[in-house]
Amino acid sequence: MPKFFATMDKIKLAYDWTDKVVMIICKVLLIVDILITSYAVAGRMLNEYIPFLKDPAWTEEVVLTCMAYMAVLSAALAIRRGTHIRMKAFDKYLPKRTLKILDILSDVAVFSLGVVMIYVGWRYATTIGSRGFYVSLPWLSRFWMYFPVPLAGLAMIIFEFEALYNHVKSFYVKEEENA
Amino acid sequence: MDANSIAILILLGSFFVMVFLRFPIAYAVGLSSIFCMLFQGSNLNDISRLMVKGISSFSLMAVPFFITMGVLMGSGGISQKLIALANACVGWMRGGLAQVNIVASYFFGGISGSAAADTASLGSILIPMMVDEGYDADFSTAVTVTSSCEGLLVPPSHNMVIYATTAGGISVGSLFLAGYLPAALLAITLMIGSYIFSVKRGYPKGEKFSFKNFIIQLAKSIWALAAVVIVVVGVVAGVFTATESAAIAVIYSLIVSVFVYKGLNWKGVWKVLDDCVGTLAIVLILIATSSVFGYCLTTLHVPALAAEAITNFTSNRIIIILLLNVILLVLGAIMDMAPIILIATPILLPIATGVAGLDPIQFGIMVVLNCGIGLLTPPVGAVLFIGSAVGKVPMEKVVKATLPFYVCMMIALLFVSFIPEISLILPKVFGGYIPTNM
Repeated sequence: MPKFFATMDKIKLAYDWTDKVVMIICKVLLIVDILITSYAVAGRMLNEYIPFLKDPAWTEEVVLTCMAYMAVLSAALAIRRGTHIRMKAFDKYLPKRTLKILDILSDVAVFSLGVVMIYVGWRYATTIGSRGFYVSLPWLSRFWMYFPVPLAGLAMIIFEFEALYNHVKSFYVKEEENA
Repeated sequence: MDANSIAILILLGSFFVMVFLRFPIAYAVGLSSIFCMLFQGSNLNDISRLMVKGISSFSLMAVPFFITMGVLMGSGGISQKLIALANACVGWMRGGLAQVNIVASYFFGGISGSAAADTASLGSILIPMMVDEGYDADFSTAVTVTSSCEGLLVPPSHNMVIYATTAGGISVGSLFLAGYLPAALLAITLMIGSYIFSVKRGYPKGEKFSFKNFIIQLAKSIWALAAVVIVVVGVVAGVFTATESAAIAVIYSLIVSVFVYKGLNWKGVWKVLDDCVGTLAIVLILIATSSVFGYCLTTLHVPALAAEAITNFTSNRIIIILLLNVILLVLGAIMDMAPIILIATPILLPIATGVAGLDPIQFGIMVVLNCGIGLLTPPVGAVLFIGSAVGKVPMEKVVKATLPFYVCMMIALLFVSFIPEISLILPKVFGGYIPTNM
C-alpha cells in the first residue's frame, strides 16, 4: 500500500502548481479591482481637466465580477491551507482520533456541497443566468456573472479530493514513514 | 410543530451542530441553508442567484480594499512611527508604556482595522519593551490584547462595512464617524485601569512631555495617518463612496509604504498580497453563503419570531438591551467576528431598532464592540491566542491578567449601549445623520 501512495503522491506537485497559479490569479484580480476602481474615481474627478480620463460605465460590473471570481478561487485555496474559520476551541480536549473523524466528516460535507454547487450553479448559469447580458457590456452574457458558483464547486472538489486522499493515506502510512 | 418551525429547527439546528463538529463556518452556513431549502421544497437554483447577489455589492468591495490597505501599511514599517507618536502623547504618565500601548492601538486601528494585526504588530514591539522596563509580561500582554479592540471601532473598519451592507441602507460614512468616540471611551477606560495597576505595582513613568517631540513624531507619522483622513473625510464629505475611498487609500498606502517609509519593495508588495488574499478567502465566501442563509431566515420570518419571543419574555427596554449584549457576547465567545455580523444582524437588528429603540448605527457599534470583546474571550478568543504567542506568556496567565480589563471593557460597552449620544453625536454633527433615538 505505501508504494501505491508513493506513486499517487506525485500528484502533489500538480496541486502545488495549481495552488500557486490560483494564488497568482487571485492577486491579479485584486490588483485589477483596485486599478479599475481608482481609474473610475480619477475619471470622474479629473475628467474636466484631463479629458481622456473617463469613468466608463462598465467599471462597476467588471469589478464585481472580478471580486466574485477572486472570492471563490481564494476560498478554495483556504480549503487546502486549512485557514477557513472553524471552531477549534475544544480541539485540545478531544482525542486525536476524534479530531481526525471530525475532519473527515467535514471534508466529506464540503465535498458534497461542492457537488451541489457545480450541479445547481451550472444549471442556473446555463439557463436563466445566460439569458441576460451585462447592462454596461451588452455583448457579454450574464453566464459569466453566475459561472463563479459552479467554478467554486469545482475548485472545492479539487482541493477536497486532496484533503480526503491525505486522510485515507494517513490510515495506511504512519507519520514517520511519511516524513 | 408546524412546517415553518421544523424548517427553522433544521436551519439553525444543523448550522450549530456543524459548527460544533468543526465544519468551516462558511460552508456550514451554506449546507444548513441547503438542508432548509430542501425541506421547504424550494428551488435550489436560488442558491446560485443568492450567492452571486450576496457578493455583487459595490459597497462590499470596500472590504478587500480596506484589508489590503491595512496589510500594506502594517508591513510598511508604520508600527514604530505610531508607537513613537503615542509615546510623545502619553509616555510621560505613570505606567507610560502601557498608556502608549493603548493610544498606539487607537492610531494603528485606523490603519489596520484588525485586532489580530494590531496585537501581532504592536505587541511584538511593545511587549518586549514593557518587560525590559519592568512591567509584568502578563500585564503587558493583557494591555496589548484588550487595547487591540479599539482598532475595530476606529474607522475605516472593514467589519463596519460588512455590518452596513448586512443591515441594509446604513450610511458607511455615518458608521465610520460613529466609531471614534466609543473607541476613545474604550481607550480611556483601559487607560484608567492601566493607571490604577501602574500606581499599585510601581510601574515607571516615561520622559517628560515635550511639545517639540510631539510635533516631530506627528510629522513622521502624518503620511500614514493621512490615509485615514482620505477615507473618512472623503466618505463623509461625499467626495467618494466607501469603496472608491478604499481603492484610493490602497494606492496611497502603496506609495507611502514603498516610496516614503520604504518599508516595502515591489517584491515585498507582491508577497504581502498573499496575506490579503488569505484574509479575503475567509471573508468573501462567508458573505456569499450567508446571503443564502439570510434569505432562509427572512422567508421563515425568524427575525419577527425572535422579536416576539423576546417581547413575550420582557418588555423592559433596559433588559432587552442587556439581553442583546449577552447574546452577542456569548456568540462572540464561540464564533469569529464576520460570521456573527453576517448571521446575527438580520435577526437582532429588527429587535434592536424595534422593541429596544436603538438606532441602527448605535447597534452597529454595539455589535462590533461585543464581537471585539468576544475576540478576547475563551474558548475561541483568537486575539488572546495571538497575544499569548507574541508575549510568550501562557494562555491561562493572559486570561487572568485580562480579567480586570474585561471590567473596563464592560463599562465602555454599557456606556455605548445606554448613551446613544456617544455613538451618534459625530454622525449627527458632521455627517448630517438623523438618529432615530436622540
